[in-house]
Amino acid sequence: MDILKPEKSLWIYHLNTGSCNGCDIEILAALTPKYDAERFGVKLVGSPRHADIVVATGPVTAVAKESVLRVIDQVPDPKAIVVVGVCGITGGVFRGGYSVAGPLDTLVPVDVYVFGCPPKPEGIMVGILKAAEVLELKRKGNYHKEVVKISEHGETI
Amino acid sequence: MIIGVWVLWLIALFIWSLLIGGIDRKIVAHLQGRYGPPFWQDITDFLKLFRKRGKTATRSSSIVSDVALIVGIIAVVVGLSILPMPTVGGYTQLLSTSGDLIILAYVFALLAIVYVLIGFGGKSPYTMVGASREVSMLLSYEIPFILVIVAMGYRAILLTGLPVSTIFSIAGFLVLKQKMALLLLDPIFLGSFLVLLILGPAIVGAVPFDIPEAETEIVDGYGAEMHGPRLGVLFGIKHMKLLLYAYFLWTIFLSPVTSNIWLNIIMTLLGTLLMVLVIYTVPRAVSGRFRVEQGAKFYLLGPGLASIVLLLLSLI
Amino acid sequence: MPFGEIFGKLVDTLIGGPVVKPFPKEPVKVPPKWRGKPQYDSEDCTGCRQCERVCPPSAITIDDKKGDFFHYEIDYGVCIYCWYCIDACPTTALSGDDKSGLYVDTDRTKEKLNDGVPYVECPVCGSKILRPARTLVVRQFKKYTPETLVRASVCPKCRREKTPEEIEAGIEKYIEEHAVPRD
Ligand code: SF4
Ligand code: SF4
Ligand code: SF4
Repeated sequence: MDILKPEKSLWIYHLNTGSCNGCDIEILAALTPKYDAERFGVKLVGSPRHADIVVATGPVTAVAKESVLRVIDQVPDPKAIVVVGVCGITGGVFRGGYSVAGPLDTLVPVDVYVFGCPPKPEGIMVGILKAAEVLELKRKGNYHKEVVKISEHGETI
Repeated sequence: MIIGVWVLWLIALFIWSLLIGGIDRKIVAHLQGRYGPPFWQDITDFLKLFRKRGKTATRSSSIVSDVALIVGIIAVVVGLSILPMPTVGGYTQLLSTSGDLIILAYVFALLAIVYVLIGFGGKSPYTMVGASREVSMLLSYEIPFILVIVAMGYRAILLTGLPVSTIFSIAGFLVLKQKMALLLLDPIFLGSFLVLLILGPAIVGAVPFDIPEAETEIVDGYGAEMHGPRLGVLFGIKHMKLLLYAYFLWTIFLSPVTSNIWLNIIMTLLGTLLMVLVIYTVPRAVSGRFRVEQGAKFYLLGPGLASIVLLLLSLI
Repeated sequence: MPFGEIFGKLVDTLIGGPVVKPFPKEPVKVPPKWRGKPQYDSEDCTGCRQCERVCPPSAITIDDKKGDFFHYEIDYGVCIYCWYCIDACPTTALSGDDKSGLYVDTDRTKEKLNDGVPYVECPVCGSKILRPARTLVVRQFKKYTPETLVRASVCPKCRREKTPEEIEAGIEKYIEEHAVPRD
């Protein structure tokens, strides 16, 4: 029954770790009527303590690093972390900059990567849905990064 | 026996309040040209919150917020025990005293105080700002609210001819509803109803006046430090407050009295949904958030003056 | 906005129905001239390293020092899909994916392109040179077959220092020895 499935209720927290705002605008676009992420139960929440999924953008600047770690620590379990945009994945155009404290996955375990600079809003939606699968596996306790299957609309179409 | 029925009614109303939340989200989505979540979404959200485990911030005091949540649950239960429930042959109250309308007014104030307590218990800057904003909103809408309730009480005494000691009793309104077909035909009651409708968004925290929990400015305000099951209880209390207010407006002013119990139940449920649409959904879909001083000024000038006029008129 | 106008818009939306794109049911539609992942065809690459030089975030890494292979790698976790490399490539070894818009994965190391060009022997003197690009072979011989590939693989030194007769004899000998199919 869908109604009892916690994976149908995805409260996302949008975390900007120092991005150029390109990806942030695309995340907001994914919530607008044109893409309507809310039909999958997605809701944007203001506080990390309410969130299930952290949608992070940006290369984690040196100033933001401490706050980013604290915010991610505040998210209750089970949680999933989605990185949106290549500058959050490797540093992208900011790679090797003097103020970059490393891509996010060198600091915390990241579950889903959405590639693009910026990615399409559809890509962000697919990323969030895939994070829901990760959450389901984490709830069942048999989450290993390898076993995450690619869902039907999660494939690189 | 009646207690058992009432407990069943309470549970049904709670599920209905969650369903109303989902229906509200669905309708707002359609008003904005999208599909929106399924209408049972809030039930899924509520159940999910009880399966999350997080860490509480060291500085926030969970005792204060736990006490506040218990007070909130008690306030909701007291409110529902006072409001008439549909039974065979009309509406009956579980508990009835001569001043229960005032108790009801205090239930709404108490629920606002619960939010304030939760905010001060959180001890984070955001929850503190949220709590102080809730206090300032409370001060601005509580004055018109109490004045309107007093005006309604006097008017009911005048029209029914009951003894003055039964002033502010909901039973008086039930008697009045047997006498008059529609309460809104009386100008004082019509005015009070309109004032209460305008006060609605602030009391239930709907968007133009969701100043205390502005999520884009102060990260969800008073509830920012809540998580997991506690947040679930707060989520339920918020839904029940919305339902209580809608239920209050519907049963006092609008509900037709029939003797068929099932008809009464169905009309109560649909009537609360209608009231929620008017005081919550439509304002939420078509407007943005006010600033705190705009909200206070709006309530003190508009409904505030109107309620003073209503009170004076009802005394004449 | 006056309230009348707002309610007019609401009525319009209610009559017009949702404006949501049919995305998860139907595959994503990308606009024309959409820029997706750059694709690499090693047969066409002549190893000029122009792409590596123009790539703004240095997503392309080329390593020709490692063994007898010209290692070519695009890290899609760095690439910003600007297609500068495609514009820069003289032999059209790079082409862009303009059909797809979704690149999502749970493992970022998989989103990498690992390819390269092998070194071949010069048929005349036997020294190692990078395999000639298909585009250049076709430009010279009008077709791309094993034999034309051998004919194009003569190293620059031999071209400079040997007479055409010597080169032709060397190529014929090489074809005989290695049983390269003739056209
Ligand atoms: S991935 Fe590109 S668009 Fe997105 S935040 Fe980084 S630099 Fe900006
Ligand atoms: S598309 Fe742009 S970023 Fe990507 S490999 Fe080519 S030049 Fe580099
Ligand atoms: S891909 Fe094109 S530009 Fe890059 S090294 Fe090969 S031939 Fe040169």
